[in-house]
Amino acid sequence: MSTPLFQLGLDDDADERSVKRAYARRLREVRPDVDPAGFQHLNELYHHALEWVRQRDAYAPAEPVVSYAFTPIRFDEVAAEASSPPLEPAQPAVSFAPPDAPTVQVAWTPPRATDTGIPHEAPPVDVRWDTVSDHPAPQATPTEHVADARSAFDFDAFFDTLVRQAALGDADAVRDWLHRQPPLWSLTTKAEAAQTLMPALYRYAPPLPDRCLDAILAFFDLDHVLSGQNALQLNLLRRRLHVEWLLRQPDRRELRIELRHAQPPVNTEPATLFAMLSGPFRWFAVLWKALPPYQPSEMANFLRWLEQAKVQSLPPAFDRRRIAFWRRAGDRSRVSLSRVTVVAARFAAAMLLATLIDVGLFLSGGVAPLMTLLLAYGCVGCVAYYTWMGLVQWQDRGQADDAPGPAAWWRLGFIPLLAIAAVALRRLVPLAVREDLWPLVMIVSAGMAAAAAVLAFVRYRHRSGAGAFDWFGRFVGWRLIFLVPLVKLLVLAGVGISRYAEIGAAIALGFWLADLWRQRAHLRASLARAPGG
Amino acid sequence: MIVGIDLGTTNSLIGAFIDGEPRLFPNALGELLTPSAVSVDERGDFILGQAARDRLATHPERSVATFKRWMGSARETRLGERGFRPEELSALLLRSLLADAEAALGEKVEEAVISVPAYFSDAQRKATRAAGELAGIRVERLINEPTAAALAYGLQERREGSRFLVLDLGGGTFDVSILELFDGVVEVHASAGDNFLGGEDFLDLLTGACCADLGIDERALAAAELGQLRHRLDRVKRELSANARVRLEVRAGGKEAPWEIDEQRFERLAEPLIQRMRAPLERAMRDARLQPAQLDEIVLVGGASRMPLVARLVSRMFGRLPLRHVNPDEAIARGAAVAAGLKARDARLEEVILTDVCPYTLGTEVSREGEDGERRTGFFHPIIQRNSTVPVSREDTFYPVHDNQARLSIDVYQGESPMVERNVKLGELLLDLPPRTPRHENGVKVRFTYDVNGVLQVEATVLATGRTHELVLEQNPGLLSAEEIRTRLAALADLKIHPRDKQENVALLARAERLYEEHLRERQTLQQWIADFQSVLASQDEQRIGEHRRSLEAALERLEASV
Repeated sequence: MSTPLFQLGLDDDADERSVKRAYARRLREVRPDVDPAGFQHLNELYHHALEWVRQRDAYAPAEPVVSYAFTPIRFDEVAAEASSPPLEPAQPAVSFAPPDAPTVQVAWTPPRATDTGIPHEAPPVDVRWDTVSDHPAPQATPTEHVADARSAFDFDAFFDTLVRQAALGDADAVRDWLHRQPPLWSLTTKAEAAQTLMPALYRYAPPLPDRCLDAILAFFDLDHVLSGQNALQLNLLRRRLHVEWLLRQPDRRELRIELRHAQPPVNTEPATLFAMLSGPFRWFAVLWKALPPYQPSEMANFLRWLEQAKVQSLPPAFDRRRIAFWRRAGDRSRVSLSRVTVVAARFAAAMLLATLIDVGLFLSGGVAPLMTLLLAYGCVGCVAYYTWMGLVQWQDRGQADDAPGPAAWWRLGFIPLLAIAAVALRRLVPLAVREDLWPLVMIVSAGMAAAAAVLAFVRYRHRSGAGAFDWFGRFVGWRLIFLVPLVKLLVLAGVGISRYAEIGAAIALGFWLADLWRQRAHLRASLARAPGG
Repeated sequence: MIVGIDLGTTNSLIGAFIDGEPRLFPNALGELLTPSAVSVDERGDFILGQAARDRLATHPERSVATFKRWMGSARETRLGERGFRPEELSALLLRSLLADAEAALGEKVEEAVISVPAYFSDAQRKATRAAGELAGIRVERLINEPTAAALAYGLQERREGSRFLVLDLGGGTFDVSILELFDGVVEVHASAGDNFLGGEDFLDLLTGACCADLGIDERALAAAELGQLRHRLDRVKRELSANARVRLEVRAGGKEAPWEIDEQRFERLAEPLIQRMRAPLERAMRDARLQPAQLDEIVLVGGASRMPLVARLVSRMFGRLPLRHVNPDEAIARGAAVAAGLKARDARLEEVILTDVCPYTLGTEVSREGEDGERRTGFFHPIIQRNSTVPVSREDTFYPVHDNQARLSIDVYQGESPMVERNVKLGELLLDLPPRTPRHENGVKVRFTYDVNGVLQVEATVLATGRTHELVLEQNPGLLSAEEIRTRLAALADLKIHPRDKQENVALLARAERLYEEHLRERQTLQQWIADFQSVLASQDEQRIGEHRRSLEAALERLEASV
């Protein structure tokens, strides 16, 4: 067996003293300035041996070697009995991630239920601990003093006051206040408090300006690289608390400055932003606000800014539906009901205006209603575009994202249904309807089949990753020589689809089935998740 | 012969390990403490030590002090005809100290061990070494000041198996070290400090308070007047250590008024500085993983640690602990002398082995991926953690962020912040990576080696090719290149320094002149005395000069005591 003690030439029951003696003896052979490598090896061995001895002695209750008591404050226990009902910080109040999450609780609840004041409205609490100059001369009774301070230290009360003080936003005042805390002069108490502080900060996440958080961390020496803190996580927490604090400030000056410097910048007044997000959701009011072209993207930028800061508690006045609406309305990368409605509302407003002008012109000079017509065509084009984009987005979402339910079945069955409907229209309807409508029915059924085919293709391609049709690009390369027959083939297929919706439907079903085969694992998983499935 | 030198912010000392004990050498004035000040007279001759300190009040534009605070920076001070870097000023001081040592030893000094604040950075250490070279001696070893103090103290007391904390508050720097002594091993557990906190800062506070009270605009004061005021306030500061209340007749800025300060007021003024002393103490204790109860003693060294505030701070933080005042001014120099003995492998120190630590964290810049999958840059990744026992060599492997990445930049930093932007960049290494390699196969092994002399070496090996690159950490603008050192060495050799045997006279004249500036009533008398002494000096009769000097010295002593 090769324990560090054995390597130092000692028995396993050697004590700390003999480890040191052995180290000192061996050190004469590997002096640090003569044999650096040998020294480093010995030094590491020595530290392992010391650690080993201490651990061994810690497990042997017969020999208590540690004479100094060290009892960290158990924050969990204290917090659990103090805060009723217990907070669940893991559940975000108004969250961004799933827009239809069922939580509606919005306010940041202060850690203690007995705590009545809203943090930033509370007056600065000057703690009644004695000031520095009142202390007895150190030669007299410093031990007693420190002992008193230790036993008297109440972390919860301290944390509460600290958070309130910090929420006022004056970092210098926070620093001074911390400096004036006599119990924290004691090394032991301060180390314990620092240990308890970090979990408390993560757990309660009190809104704090970043400068005050920095002052607190600097005071407790938690802001250096070896403090054991995850710098990335701490940065995120710092940002989040800062933004949550900014949102809570009655004075919005600082918020305005930060928003102007955000990436991308938000130039709307904070008061306006708040007004747009507050109050019950009414379509008319919201759409009216969304008419100016820049507004939805401004709002979306603001919300993205909040999201980047991982804000978890928003001001209570904010309405969840309004947030969702603005987020989607300003997102140009996706089609959403909000965005479509905003566009529709804009068209409607423009139509109204154009019609009014046209009517005016008609009455005065008898000109044809050109503007209204043009806008109407634009409207139809827009609606077609959005419908198509919406369909594509609905269909090419990953299978794993699906929540079980009727919506998932609809999504799964949409393409075959569309294909079957196209075939049915082609086959059945002509029997019943007037003959002069046949060409129109043919076109509609062919269009449906083509749509189903393209949709199925796009769905297959997007859902099976970027590499799915790479061979196509590579294949084309020098084989452009086959371009003419290929074009002819495509034309034939197009003609075929337009004549016989069955071809389109077959292509659609083919891609659809291929997609199902590829997604079989996810599909099985989502079926297993389905209630009773 | 190897000597040990304490190159302080306010005072410097020199000594050597002779006949089994550290011995300090007096300067030409017979004092162990040589003020760290340099001055140049009208003829271009250099004056060092006490005379230069006195001339700081009378000829501030031709004198300089506290240059240790600028070590490692490129700042130049104008003295007479040309500008001097802090290394050169230190070199002049070193030359004067070496002359004292050589006079006492009767032999040539070839090498020196110089003490530096534990928290001195890489650049500051290199500058100190360069100063030694400029003074014409070899400086291989630097010793951390608190370690030196502990070495002297520990060996003197021969306390086996004890742990103690050395608190060193000097003129310009504050250092904390925690050490353990057992079986001849002096083991440093941890060091921490603040390079810009010392007695001078307390003096700044007093000067500010005094000027504010009397309605004097400190910035509008002539340099000479300010120098004088500071000189007198320095005495007030010293007296406050013993008296509860000190009075001073202030004459500055066209005002003449009494000023009084008591202990409580001084303590309130010093509160921010005292607060700044807490952090290094806490960090050293935490890094050493010790509880206050596990310390046997707290040793106060450095002139400024005489202030009762410091003792009070310690007892508030540690509870009741045996505080030990060793002779605070000399402890470091004695330790440096012991270190010189160790370096020379003195037979009587055969049993003693010193292990020190690296006071700061060294590492590289890395990027990190958050839970959201976003990659953020600018994080500091420690390779050698602070307070590792030196010599130490550690390695870590880094991977590029992208597949097929062609180059990788290794940026080396020193500091404690988790973000590199707040740390000191020491250098960077740009490596070419082999082409068309996935990132997880394209590692680079980086090895940091920090030796006993505080020199960092960085080596990077591209694993795929096995090629090794070495980083040279010399491009810091605050450092002199070897070339520059050679040219400056030649320039310094041409400078004339007042001969050692005349220094007593120069110092006495400088003192008389300072007193002339400070006093209004006795000016006539002083002027007469100065003229008399100058005429005696002109006679070049050594015996007459000696007699006159002694009587003048006694007269000045009485005059100064009467204030």
